[in-house]
Amino acid sequence: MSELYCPGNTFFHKLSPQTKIIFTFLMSITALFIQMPLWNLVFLLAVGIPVIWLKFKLKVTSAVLKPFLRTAVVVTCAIAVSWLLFSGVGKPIYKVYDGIYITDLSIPLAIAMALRLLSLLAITIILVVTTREVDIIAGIRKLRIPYFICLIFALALRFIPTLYDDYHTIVEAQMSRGLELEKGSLLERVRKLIIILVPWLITSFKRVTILANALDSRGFIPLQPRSFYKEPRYSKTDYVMIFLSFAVFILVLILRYYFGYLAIIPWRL
Amino acid sequence: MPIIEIKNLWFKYRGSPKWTLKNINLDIEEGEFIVIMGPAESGKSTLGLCLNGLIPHSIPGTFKGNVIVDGLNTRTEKVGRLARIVGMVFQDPESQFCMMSVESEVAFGLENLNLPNDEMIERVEWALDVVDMKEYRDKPPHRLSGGQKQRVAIAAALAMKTKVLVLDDPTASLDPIGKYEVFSVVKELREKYSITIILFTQEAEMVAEFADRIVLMNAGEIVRIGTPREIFSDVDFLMKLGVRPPQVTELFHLINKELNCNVEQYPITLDEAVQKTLKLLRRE
Repeated sequence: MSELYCPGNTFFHKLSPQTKIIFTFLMSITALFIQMPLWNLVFLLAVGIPVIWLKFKLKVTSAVLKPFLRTAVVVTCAIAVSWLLFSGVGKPIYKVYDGIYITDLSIPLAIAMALRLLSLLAITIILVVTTREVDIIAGIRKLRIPYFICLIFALALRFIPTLYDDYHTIVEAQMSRGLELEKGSLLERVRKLIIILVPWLITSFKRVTILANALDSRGFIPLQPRSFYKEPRYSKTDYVMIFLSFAVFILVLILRYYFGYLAIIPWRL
Repeated sequence: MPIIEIKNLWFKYRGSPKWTLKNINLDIEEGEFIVIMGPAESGKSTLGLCLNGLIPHSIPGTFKGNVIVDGLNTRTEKVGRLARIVGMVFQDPESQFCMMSVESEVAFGLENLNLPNDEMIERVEWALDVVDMKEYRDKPPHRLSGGQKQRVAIAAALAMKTKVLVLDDPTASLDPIGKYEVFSVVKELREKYSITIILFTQEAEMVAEFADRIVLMNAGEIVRIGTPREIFSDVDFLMKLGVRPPQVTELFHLINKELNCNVEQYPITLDEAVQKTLKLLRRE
């Protein structure tokens, strides 16, 4: 499993994780309030340029970003096509099928939605490339999310690589016993998948039992008062960044709802 | 007063027809290094789980008798509370980690104790130093080797400054280098700190030198308790039980049987064996 975090000493690395979480959250919502291709493009450039800068500055390999980009392309296309065909607003200009039209509004809407998604992706990349998982959890905790929720996130993140390794060990073990995953009809393949899934589930349950015991034996009692190791603090830059994030967010809200800009169909997000 | 008192302990897992532990009685003094050995399925791991209250609190089954840890009865105390007295290292190096970096793993138990930040930092530094894992502090535990993982697990237990450290077969799934790493840490703990250590293992060689007492278990019962020399000298008994004595002891036993050399006392460590061999050779 490749890790997304890339060590470095950039502006984004120096921000405290909770600031980056606030930034990510506010910018993501902001992106959802912009609904006009040109402005979506401006926004995408604003958050996309730092990503490109980070890519070269940190020498992020394409292999790290590939799974991200692959999912992004698929999802973006799916969303764009669905808005193109099913937006249900505007004057029809091309009939695709009975009741399904491409309209004068659905084309810019589809473009806007695609750009919006790409901006969300860029924002997320900034967060995960410059923040360790461990710090993301610390950041969430600092934002006063109850600890047991943070712990669930932390444990999930912590166990993904372990379960992934288990899965591969089992696949290899079954293959060395002559299991051919690639062959056979669909039904046979599903049956073969069960041969993998059953031992995988059993292993996972065993792991969870041991983990529960480990949590207990490390003195973990849910909801008890606890202290936090190396709690992230706010610096001046953090406050500036949080202020700017809010400023952009509020500006977009005002532009859209007071002045009526930034939207093709104002009653929809 | 012993730090751990096990009195008439019986335990049966839920759904199992037979008792896994049968009438265990054992007192462990503070600062003692106890090694518990026995063949597979002898109930060693189950006994380990009884020492910090996981049995009877988290693992269902029938529990009779009492385990008193530093004056607290494990029947009535919460595991989270007993965790302040008994630290535990599990057999599986992978599943016992909760956090995503070595440092935060070690700190996790301390956060549970609600310690102030300065003290946590101090203890984390100390514990990582003892197990010699300081340079790996930012690594995710799953990226470490087996031996390193167990060293981190030991550090995590040590940092809590518990009076007792229970190591449940920590080297079972490790390669020889990993085993060596873990045992060197255990040896260092033995030599430098006064912590009570209860080690469940099959590695006779590694513990012959520094165990105070060895407890032999079979089929859920304690069959013998004694010093390493007392236990390992009865090679025939150990072999019948399915516990391997140190190889040097076994070697002398076989030579003794074949040649009738009348070695009055079998060696249990390599050093002793060398001395004895030289003596025998000179006599020839």
